[in-house]
Amino acid sequence: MLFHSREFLVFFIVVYVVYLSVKKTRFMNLWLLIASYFFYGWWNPLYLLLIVYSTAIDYLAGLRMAAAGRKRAWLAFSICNNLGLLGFFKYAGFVTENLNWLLGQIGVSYVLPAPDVLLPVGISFYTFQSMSYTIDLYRGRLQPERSFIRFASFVALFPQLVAGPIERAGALLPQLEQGPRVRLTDISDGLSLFLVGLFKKVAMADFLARYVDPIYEAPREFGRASLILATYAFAWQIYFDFSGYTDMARGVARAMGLRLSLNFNNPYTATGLRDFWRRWHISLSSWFRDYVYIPLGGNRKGKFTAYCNIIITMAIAGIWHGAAWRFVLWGGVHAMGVVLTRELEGSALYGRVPTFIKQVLTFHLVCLGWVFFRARDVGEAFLVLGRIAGGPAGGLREAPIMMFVMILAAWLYQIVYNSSLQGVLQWRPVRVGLVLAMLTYLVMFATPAHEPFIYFAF
Amino acid sequence: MNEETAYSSNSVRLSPGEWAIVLPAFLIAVFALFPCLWRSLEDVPVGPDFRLAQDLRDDYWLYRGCTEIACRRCPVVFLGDSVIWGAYVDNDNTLPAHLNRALGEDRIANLAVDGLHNVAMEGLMRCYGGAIKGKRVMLHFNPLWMTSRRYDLRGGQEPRIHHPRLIPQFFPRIASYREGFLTRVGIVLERHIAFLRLQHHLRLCFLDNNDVASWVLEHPRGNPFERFSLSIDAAEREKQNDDRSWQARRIRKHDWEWMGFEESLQWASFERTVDKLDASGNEILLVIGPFNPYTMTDESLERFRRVQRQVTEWAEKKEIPYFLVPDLPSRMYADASHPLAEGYALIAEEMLADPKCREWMGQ
Repeated sequence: MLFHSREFLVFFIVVYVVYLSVKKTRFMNLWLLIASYFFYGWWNPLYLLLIVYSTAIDYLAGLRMAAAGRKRAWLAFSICNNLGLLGFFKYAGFVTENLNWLLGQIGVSYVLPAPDVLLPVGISFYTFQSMSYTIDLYRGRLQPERSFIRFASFVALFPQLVAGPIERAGALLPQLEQGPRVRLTDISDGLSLFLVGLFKKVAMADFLARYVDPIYEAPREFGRASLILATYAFAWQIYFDFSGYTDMARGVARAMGLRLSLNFNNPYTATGLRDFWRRWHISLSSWFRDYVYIPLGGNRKGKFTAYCNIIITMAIAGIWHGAAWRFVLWGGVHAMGVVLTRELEGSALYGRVPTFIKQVLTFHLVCLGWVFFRARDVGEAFLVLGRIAGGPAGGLREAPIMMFVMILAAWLYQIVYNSSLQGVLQWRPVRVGLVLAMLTYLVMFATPAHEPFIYFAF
Repeated sequence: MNEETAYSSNSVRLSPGEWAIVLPAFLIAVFALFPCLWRSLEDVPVGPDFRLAQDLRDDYWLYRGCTEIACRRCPVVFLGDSVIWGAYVDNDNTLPAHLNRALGEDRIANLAVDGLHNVAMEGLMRCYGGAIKGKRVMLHFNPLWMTSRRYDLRGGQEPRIHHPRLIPQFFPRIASYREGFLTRVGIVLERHIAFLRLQHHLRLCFLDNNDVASWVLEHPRGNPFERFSLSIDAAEREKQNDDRSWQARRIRKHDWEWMGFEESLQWASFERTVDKLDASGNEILLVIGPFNPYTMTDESLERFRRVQRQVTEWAEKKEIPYFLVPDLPSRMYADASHPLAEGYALIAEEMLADPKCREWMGQ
């Protein structure tokens, strides 16, 4: 069930009306859980078996960690279970494929059968969210959640279940425990967030996708200019798609009185790759920082170890996105970028480079990563890069002028928002004008194509 | 991170009071004022007999507007499907055009719509035909819609149902119609919300039936908003006469099963359409056929004659004047039901020679 579908509208109206009447009662979490499981089961009811199993194991592990004292063993059990699920459902095919390649290389004719398993939507998100609970519990930052219903609501909360933000138990469980207060400002803020997200998805991301997809599906047929334009367009498509989803998720939750964390903060105004990761998919980058990078030693053991930790963390972050080498390479590009940025930021010269230049350079480095992210495989990614670097100029797919106007407008908005001129954007006529413009476009000129969100695939 | 940053990464945030003003004002402007304003300002130049362009056959906003103008200008309106609209002929060779020429003035408005089977016609009249009151109505009955379960919308899944937005969405249940629940709800809403029809109309007329994004991708240098105007050309212009007969089209003989009147959905709808037009104070002239007898097997032809008899008996019982279109020479049919230009000319001649028709037309 997609946020920008009529099914969701009907679903949410029903859920919300009941929610408002039970939110201060002990039935609130039960209702949230029923709604969340219905929402998730809409894709495939079989997915529910997996999420219930995963939730039950982490709930049990949490209770046992508090009671039995063998915290490390239960933490290991929880982590193995979560990573095992993720490994089986997400990476079994990838591992088999690579093992078969390896066997072929050493002359073994045996071919391992490819596992035919369905990748459950959002598995990477809810396993990470659930795992953060047991890790924080182990670290003593949390008390175990005694109510299974509440814990299950935390894992499966429908606004953020399938694509985040990846919430921490310490932030969300207390909200579910206290019973949120829904004020008028929550509803108005929720509406504002949802509208912006809907506009990003329907008007921007889906529009850009229709330019990008044909080019990246057949990159051999297109020349340098089209591939460059398609890469730029994809950079904005994925931003609008994912941040649009997040805005809608946060808007829905906000209207229910629940606060979800900020996941995007104008990432294309970043002045370096480190800055980029403080602005892009913030809940994931902070998850990797807290549960991978810092436990590996972070930057406490010298520069070389810190850089190794960055590379390991980014490679894992890459493969988290998908079971393919192109995602590992995408992580590699970012790791190199982060290392490079750290080095540059230490130099006096870099401090004198104008912010705008840094932003443009960072954007292009990010775009380089997007080529690996969007291409169908590593070979095609290098093909795209090769053609961009020195391929034929022909094979042009003309880009609509409206595409440039949209991207430029969004980019300028973000630049202004991050500048001292931000006050202009907060001026009432500007805010109201933007809301009216978005509503008008959505109601009068757009057709929801019901394209799924890119990050649902992860 | 301050509260403002944590809220979002933009400033598009309205307060409850601002939403309370902006949202209702927007909804009223878009859903109430805009359609009224557009309706009053829009100029729809149609041809002298109101024959709408085939591309706009699903544009019920336009149909309603044209019907209102036609009812003001012409004493007679002709309702029917592509047989009356004129599927294989140009503007000068439809049946209403021939009749108008013979009558010496544009008395008859061609309000027929391509693909308008009886169930859809009932929906069209009920939802968008309100202007047809106290008029003389020539109502076409095309036997084609009763030839088989498939045409009667009862035979499994119909690959393409014409005018799905006009047929009943929930009751009575139509076996051939397999749309999802929410699509059906959307269609019902469209019947009651003028803005939704206007939106469809604008896309059909100005954006080649696309949304803005699709249009822009097809016209990268174009400005979609420049295309909108208050004047549209709704008259059919491109249609040329196609003179090939049904034999030239290699249409083979069919053994139509023919639906019984008691069980036929199409017939039940037709009856209700007649009742609705009658209740609106219209004087009806029923035009039965034409239908190509040469494309049927002998058994099917026999059943067809029974259908014709039953329709005429029904009309007599209801005291509705009718004109039973006689069989035309074989070469004058384009397919199972559509005549060629020559056929229409002959039908017009026969109608005007028929005393009942002449009397009904006030000649």
